[in-house]
Amino acid sequence: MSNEFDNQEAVVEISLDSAIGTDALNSAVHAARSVASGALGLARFATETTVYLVTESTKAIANSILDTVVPVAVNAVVSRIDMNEIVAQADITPILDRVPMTEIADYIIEEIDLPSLVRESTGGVADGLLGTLRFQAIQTDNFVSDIVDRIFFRRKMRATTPEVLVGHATI
Amino acid sequence: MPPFSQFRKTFVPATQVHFSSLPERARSIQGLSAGFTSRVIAVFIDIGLVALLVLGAWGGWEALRYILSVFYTLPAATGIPLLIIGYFTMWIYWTWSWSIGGRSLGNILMGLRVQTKHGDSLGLGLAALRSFLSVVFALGLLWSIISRKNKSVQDIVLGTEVVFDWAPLLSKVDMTFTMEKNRTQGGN
Repeated sequence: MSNEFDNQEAVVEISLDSAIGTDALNSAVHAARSVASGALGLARFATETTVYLVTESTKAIANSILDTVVPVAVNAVVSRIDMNEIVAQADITPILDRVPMTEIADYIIEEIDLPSLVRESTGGVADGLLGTLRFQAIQTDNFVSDIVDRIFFRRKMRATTPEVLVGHATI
Repeated sequence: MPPFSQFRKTFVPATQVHFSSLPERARSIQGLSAGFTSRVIAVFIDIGLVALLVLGAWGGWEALRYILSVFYTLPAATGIPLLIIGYFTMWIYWTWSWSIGGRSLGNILMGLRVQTKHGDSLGLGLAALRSFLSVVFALGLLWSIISRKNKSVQDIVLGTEVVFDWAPLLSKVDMTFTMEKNRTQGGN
């Protein structure tokens, strides 16, 4: 009598790399990670929104309080103060030292074109017919003095005001 | 018109600001000695003015005489006295006008000024002397054609000169001036 198991071979197969088991693990980890990051984002969003809302509402409240209080306070102060007296007591010299006087003067002179105003108001006579007469006399003089200087063989000629001849010949 | 703030940004401060009441084309000749033609025209303008004055006064006087007198007689030989009066008036007129700023009517119209060689106005004495010499020896002006410095005989004798001055003012007011600006950039 023999044990019937003795002659039989028992084969037990244990596979360590089960495909189904690894996939399930991976997806479980992934899901957990997603949930965690979503929860974190939500928490962050909630925090930021809360902070924002709190800040803005605080600002708004503070502003509205200041808007109400400050004019009243300032009025209360100003009504008790004589501004003119304060200004009268102020030393304006250092303030004036900071004011660019010459630049302001230049600005005004440039803006109203002072030189041309002076010219127009005083020099009107010298333009037109009288000016032409004067320049013709000058040109005649230049002509005559040139001839005389040549007659006397003068090495150094008289100044014939060349600017006049060149610049103002066409009157 | 730019606002001041903008002007200030772009403004480059000039070290010299030149103001002139003279017209543009007269600046190059301002202060140069004037030649014969300009001066002789001025003289003729003055002579015309004085002649007008003297003849006008004489005509007025004769008209008055005619109205007031019953037996009016035509004036006899008035030429010489009138000429003498004319010369005298000329002397007075030039003395007066040259001493108050160096410009008679003819000078003003021709843009001339009589001054000393230092550029000063003639005093009453010098003006009277120059005026007298000009009246008694008007031909002295002819020398300004020949003279290197456009000087007439009177100018040479008295040390005066006639220059261009287009400033349209009777009295000697220097309307042309240059302003020097001393700017210190960055305050101290």
